[in-house]
Amino acid sequence: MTVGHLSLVLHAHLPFVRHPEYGRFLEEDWLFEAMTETYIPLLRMLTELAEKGVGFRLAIGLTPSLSEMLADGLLIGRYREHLERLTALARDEVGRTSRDEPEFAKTARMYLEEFEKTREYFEGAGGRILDRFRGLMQSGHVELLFSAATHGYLPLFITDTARRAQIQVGYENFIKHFGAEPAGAWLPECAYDYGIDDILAEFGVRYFIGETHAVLNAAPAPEMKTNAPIFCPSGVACFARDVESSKQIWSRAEGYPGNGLYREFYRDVGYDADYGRIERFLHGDGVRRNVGIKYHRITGPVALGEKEPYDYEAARAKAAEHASHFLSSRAAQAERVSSGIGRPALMAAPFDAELFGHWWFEGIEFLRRLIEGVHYGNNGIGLLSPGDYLERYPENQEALPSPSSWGDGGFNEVWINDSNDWIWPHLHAAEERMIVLARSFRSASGLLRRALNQASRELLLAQASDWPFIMSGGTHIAYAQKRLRTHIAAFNALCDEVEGGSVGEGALAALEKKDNCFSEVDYEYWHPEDEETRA
Amino acid sequence: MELVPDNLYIDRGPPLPESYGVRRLVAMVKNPYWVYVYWDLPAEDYLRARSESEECVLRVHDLTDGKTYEVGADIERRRHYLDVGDDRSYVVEIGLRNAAAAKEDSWTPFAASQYIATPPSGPGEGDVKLVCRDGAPTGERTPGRPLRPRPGRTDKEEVIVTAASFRAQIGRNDTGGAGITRPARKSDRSPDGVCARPDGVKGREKPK
Repeated sequence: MTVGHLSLVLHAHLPFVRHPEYGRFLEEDWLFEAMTETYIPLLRMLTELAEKGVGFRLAIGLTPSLSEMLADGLLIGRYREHLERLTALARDEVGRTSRDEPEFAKTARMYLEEFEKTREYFEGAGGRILDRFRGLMQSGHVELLFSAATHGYLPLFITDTARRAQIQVGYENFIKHFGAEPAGAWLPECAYDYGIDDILAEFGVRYFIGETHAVLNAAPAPEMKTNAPIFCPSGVACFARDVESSKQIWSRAEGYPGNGLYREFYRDVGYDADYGRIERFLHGDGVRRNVGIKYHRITGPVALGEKEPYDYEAARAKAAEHASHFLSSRAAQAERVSSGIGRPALMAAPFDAELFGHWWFEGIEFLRRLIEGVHYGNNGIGLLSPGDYLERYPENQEALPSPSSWGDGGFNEVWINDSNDWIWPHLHAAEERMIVLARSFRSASGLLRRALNQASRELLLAQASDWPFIMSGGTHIAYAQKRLRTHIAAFNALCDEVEGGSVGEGALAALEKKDNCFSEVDYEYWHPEDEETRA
Repeated sequence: MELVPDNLYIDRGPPLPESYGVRRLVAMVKNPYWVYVYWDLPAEDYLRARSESEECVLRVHDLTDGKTYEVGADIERRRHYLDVGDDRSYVVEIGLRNAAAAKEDSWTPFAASQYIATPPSGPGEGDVKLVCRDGAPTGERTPGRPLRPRPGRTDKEEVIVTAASFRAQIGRNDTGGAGITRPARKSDRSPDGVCARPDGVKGREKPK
């Protein structure tokens, strides 16, 4: 008998980073690392389970900026080269460790084997791993969510029109890549503000994922708390993050990923190897960085230099143990809650996809064991996607969610603070200028249309929530500042040209080639057609 | 014409305009207790603010209880963080206060913000209802219809008061804090016979 429904939602996102003007570019590694460590291992694992006949149902959100990169020919080609370099390094390491450091030899062979499988999978998909996500959607194993075009932080936009444009580009981008309408929405940073659900309703989107207090602080207060979704007055459902399940994974003190047997992320061959040997695997600046081969385990609260050798077999066994603990905890939680709400408890567990594999190396194994545990086990917990939940339980509480986000502090503080508040006057001015231009130039054609569409792309790229997020305490701060300023400056220059009545083809073409995302963008999204009919 | 020379700015990107030639004040919610405001004013306003006799002030109108208070601000900083209360609506003004002038002449307004609403920090009041929704939400598109937003949205103005207009639309009482009293909807009617619940789970009514 089902006592509880577990809704696992994996949110895959990276900002659009693509620099054709350089041969190799440091920040493009974000994509390559996520592909090697998360996206492809996740796809491989899910495909294997599906082929074995293991039934499962997960929700995965892919943001449009990520989808555009995964489908981009230049980046696919560069990833192929990256993987070749990485495999060459791993081969090198197998030889070296068996000679000089036998305690790492087993791990070195594991990496080589993994990278080779990854390469095989990647080539088997013709480099287009997006198609594999689509395949899992079509086979019914995965429910796919769309998101706003560049993962813009919607609550801090100043117009509904600009919020809608981000959502509309994202919606159409999803249809372009996946050939179907999305089941639901991943709101960037789970950031909800009054009115955002209204825009989703315009597109017929059935649900979005919200932060816990979006529902706990809703009005009126939902009695089922986060153990069932709520319907906003617009009719769109909000599924809130379940605190207990996410705590077991995220908590610094109690979270699984901090276990001493798991792989240590920060101890990497990029730093440990002889410089002469590692240099050719580094970027052109020759600076030592993580390369993705790591031989140590977390061990405990000791300095990086004192970490002990990693044993992947012991780590995988621990991941299986954790998966089983997670499942029995969900069953206990559901037992506790379900009778009080008169239906099996829903536990919505949204996570950054990149946690699994990239940050928490054993996370993919954890997911595999979790899925198998649900399939073969019998503890009353089932995997149910949010969309399936609404099919089974069309009756839910109606309340207005509270504005919130899953960022630190729970509201907008990560995206407005002393480090990044200077960006908003520029972003708001650009938002409004785009609306004015879309209103002034109806049905533009030729060069003018291209310039207006490219201005739209530059605006969308400037709006990515990643730039203020990185400014707020990450590494790569200068890069985030540069990206934001570069897109705003390009936007303003294009608008000046449009307003001045002379668009220069050469510079426009160069920008189109560089910032080539969202072929579907239409500047008229910033001028909804119904506006004219209003008094 | 060169749009943005690529190699001129190695570090943090090209410089952006200091002003967009408008007169405006924008308020943004940081969290239930803090509001960020920034302003962009004509040069003469900054000049005038340098005079000895006048002080730059932010007037904060708390629309929830109808009170207004003033906070001094450094006009040259072009930004300020305001200490506010949760689940309230505000409008903020920027201007000059002349302490020496007669009361009615002492205020020179420069700009006013849009309405904003801070989020609640606790659960809302009122009785929750179960509603049944079998299909896509109210704003659904019909197949084949172009992907355009539905008519009747409220964002005619360029600066939209999303939170306030949304609350107004659903009848939120901003002066009494009494929670939502929106008009009844079709979906509020008893769902009997409307929803097929294949698993036989009964929805639970709030106990009276």
